[in-house]
Amino acid sequence: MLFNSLDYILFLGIAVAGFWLLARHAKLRIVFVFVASCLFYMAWHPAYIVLILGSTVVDYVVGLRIYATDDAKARKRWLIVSLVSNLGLLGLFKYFNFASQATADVLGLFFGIEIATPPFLDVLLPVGISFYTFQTLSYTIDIYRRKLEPTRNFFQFAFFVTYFPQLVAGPIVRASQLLPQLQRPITLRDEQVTQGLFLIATGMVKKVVIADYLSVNLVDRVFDQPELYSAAEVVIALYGFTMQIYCDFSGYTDVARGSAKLMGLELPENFDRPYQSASPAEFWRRWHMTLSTWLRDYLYFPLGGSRVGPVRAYWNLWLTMFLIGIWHGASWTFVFYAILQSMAMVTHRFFYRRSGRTGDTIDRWQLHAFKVFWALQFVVFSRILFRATNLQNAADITTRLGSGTFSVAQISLGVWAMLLLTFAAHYTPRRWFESIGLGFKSMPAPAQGVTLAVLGFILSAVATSEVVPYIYFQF
Amino acid sequence: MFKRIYRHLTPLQHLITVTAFMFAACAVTYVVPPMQSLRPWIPGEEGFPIVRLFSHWGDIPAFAGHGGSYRSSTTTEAGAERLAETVGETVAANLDVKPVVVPPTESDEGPKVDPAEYAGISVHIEDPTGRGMRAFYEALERTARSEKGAITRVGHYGDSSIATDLITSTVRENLQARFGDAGHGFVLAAKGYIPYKHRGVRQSSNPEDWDIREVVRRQDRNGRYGYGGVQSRARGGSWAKVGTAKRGDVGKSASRFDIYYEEQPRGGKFSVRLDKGAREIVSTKAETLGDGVYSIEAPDGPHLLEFRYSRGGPVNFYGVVVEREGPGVVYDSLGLVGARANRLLNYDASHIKAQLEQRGVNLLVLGFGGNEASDERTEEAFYEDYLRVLARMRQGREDMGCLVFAPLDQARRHRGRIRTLPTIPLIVAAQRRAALASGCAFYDTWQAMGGEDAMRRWHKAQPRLAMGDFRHATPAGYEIIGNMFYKALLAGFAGYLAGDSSTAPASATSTEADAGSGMPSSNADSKTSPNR
Repeated sequence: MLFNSLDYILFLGIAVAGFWLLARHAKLRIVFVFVASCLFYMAWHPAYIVLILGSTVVDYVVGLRIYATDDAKARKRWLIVSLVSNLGLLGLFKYFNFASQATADVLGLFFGIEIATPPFLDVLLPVGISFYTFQTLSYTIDIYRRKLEPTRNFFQFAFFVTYFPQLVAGPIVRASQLLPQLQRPITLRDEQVTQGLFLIATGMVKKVVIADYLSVNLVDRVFDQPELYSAAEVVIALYGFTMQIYCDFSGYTDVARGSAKLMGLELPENFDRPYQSASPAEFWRRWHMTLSTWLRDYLYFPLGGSRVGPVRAYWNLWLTMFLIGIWHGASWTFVFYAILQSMAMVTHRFFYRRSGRTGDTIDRWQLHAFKVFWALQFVVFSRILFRATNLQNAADITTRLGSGTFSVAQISLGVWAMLLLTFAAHYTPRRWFESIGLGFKSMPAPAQGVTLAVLGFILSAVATSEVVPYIYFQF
Repeated sequence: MFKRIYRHLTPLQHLITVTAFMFAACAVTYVVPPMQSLRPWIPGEEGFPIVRLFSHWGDIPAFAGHGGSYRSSTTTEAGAERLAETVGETVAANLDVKPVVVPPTESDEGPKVDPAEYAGISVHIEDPTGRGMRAFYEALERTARSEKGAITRVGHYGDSSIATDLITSTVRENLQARFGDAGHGFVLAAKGYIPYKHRGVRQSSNPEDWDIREVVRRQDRNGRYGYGGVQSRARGGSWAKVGTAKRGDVGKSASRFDIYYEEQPRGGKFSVRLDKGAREIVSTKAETLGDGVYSIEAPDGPHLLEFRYSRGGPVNFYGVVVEREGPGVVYDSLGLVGARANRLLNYDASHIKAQLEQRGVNLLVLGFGGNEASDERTEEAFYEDYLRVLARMRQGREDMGCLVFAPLDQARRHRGRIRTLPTIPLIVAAQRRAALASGCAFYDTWQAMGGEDAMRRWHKAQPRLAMGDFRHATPAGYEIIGNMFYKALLAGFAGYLAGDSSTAPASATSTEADAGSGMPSSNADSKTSPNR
């Protein structure tokens, strides 16, 4: 079920109505939302509900077992059970085919051993597996580290794992963020209602008006047939993809957070105007923040972070960034994307430390603007590898970039306008947008309802196609 | 008073009020007829919201987007089944397949085509009089007999769907794999900044130094755009290179380059050089306005042709032909982005006739209609246009075959659904009538794709076969169309060889399979009727 559909709006309405109708039956409402989340998930592929339920049961049991014993070995054994089962499923469904093909490629290329048909699993990647795997791992790891007490209520834990707004594309919520909210009485505040509705509306506009428009009218065309476009048009398409993916993913997050707010729950923010970053490191602190912080807390810090020798510190940083990159997909393009990003981080750290700067150093605005500009260029051009369907496609795009052709005849006025408006909006003061939210908040409830309906009519009219899935659904 | 009430609403009452007014606003669209286009759901059209997700969950591509080895693939049985469910078995069967080529056997009976070679299509070439395809089949028969130098040439004009050279390169590769590679054929001399592609040929130039005149834009007052519909005017410093491909399976060899150019009283000179050979100077000066060809022959192999503006007056190029000795097939891709068929009327009649004769085209294919789809015109108006265009391009020549290649399906969002544009069936019908009335053949690309709402299904397919603009196919979609058209040509040729003028080869239909998938059945008139 896609957020940008009538089905989701109705589904959300039913779920929210049921949730508050059961307000006096705390246990029952948790079960109700869990069942609704399962139905939400089954709308894609009913059979795969088994995987997420299996994962839920395993981690629920593991959490209790770890907590129940003080025997360090036993605790570690149970943690390994959780790691192997969760990462095993992720590896099997997401990375097995790539690993198989990559092995065959490498053997053929370097050792002359030809494997005509490497092993191939004909399975669909379960939607959201990369997200809920990390969520459940955070639960067992936090219990192992004695930072969290396990819940004894299975449905509470199942609610946390399967909660439908963030189930398929994040934000990656940690047990320590959501479970405490479920364990105390849930109330709805007035600002949550207006903020929730406003976030849902904003997310829909980002997705339907901006992301889908740029995708259909610019990005897909150029990446499908780059040879038909000039270097200048390819550059514009890369900027288009940069804005498309931001509006697509942050639009999803907005709808997810808005939906949760209508149930009185808070999900973490996932973006902080990432294209205002002045370095690759800052970019990853502002982009998909819940993934970056997850890997920081559960991988980078346990490896020693930066409090180890310099070589080890660089290795830790490189590995963490590499895993963030490869998390996105199992293909050579993502391998090279991951390497590019991790090398950029390592290089940035090297020069940053050499310069003797600290986190408190403030640049003059001209220098800051210069850094923001170049950081954006790195993001834009490195995403050739992110968007390309394969290495050949990435090479074709790069070749076109070097063609020295400057015509922009195939860029429509609408695309120009959309790009200029959205990039301009990204660099405007945050309070401007907050004032729009405040304007919505100050409306009487009936006016808010009619405004949202009118917005829905407009979105329906301008939508470029029936359903355009979110990019991050594939991850 | 109301304001006071709203201020005292509890958060939950606030939420209920917003929701109630939102639903009320939606309900208005069901009671006020002028607002019906705003209805969020139309009863009976798409199943009931939410419920429909569980009855058709497979309809929504779960993994759209990009990258990742887990993308749904047709390389497995399950992937192929999923694709067939969405777009029909015939369409699905033509993705990612190299055509079956049954090697000719030693016999005196002449060329044969095994039915397995054209299995998996439901739409055939319509040519009730046989006049449309006869010249082509005759040439193809000579090529199939491996007669010395027997080259069969096809010139395929069209709009942006052809300009990508994806349909045409697929047909080209298939025909060349089957009948022999006689080279890449015609490519534009220099494309300037216009979108143009000929796959498997190396082309480069300094675009800023070329002045491009297109038949689509009627930019030459004499109507002399050359065979390719684009005149490339050279200035001081202009240069262009055309060479055989370095990579890939095809296009690595050539043995002759023909440079097509305009002759004129004030014509200047250009220099030309093949590989590292000596540079030669060619004058384009002539007493009257006309067309010239400068040919260079070389041993069959990899070559690079370079030509530059030299001096004197204007030098206008039409294009370069890259060929081999044959026997074999040459398939010229002549895509004109943004073109409607009637733009070909911008050609000077005697000029285009001479160009087609010079090129020795055995089959002229006209594949337009994609841009006309947004014109609000009647079928009759489209029909009249096509009659005139076919008359202008063929000019009564029976020694040149002629085929109208219908447009791809095209759709737009209407009342919440993706629907075929109403002009598409009109254009297809007009093209069919005009083609048959002009003694040309007709290929119903629209029906081959699946007819009504095909774009919608193609867009939903995994891998995606249609672009999100619902006007163009993806490379995979174009490949399917290319494969289906190639098989239709081959099926027609089989009928020609068999001398059977009444039916299409029986094994070439697969309508039963398609019926099961809810796809429209192939047109009842879509039968090959070749006359020998």
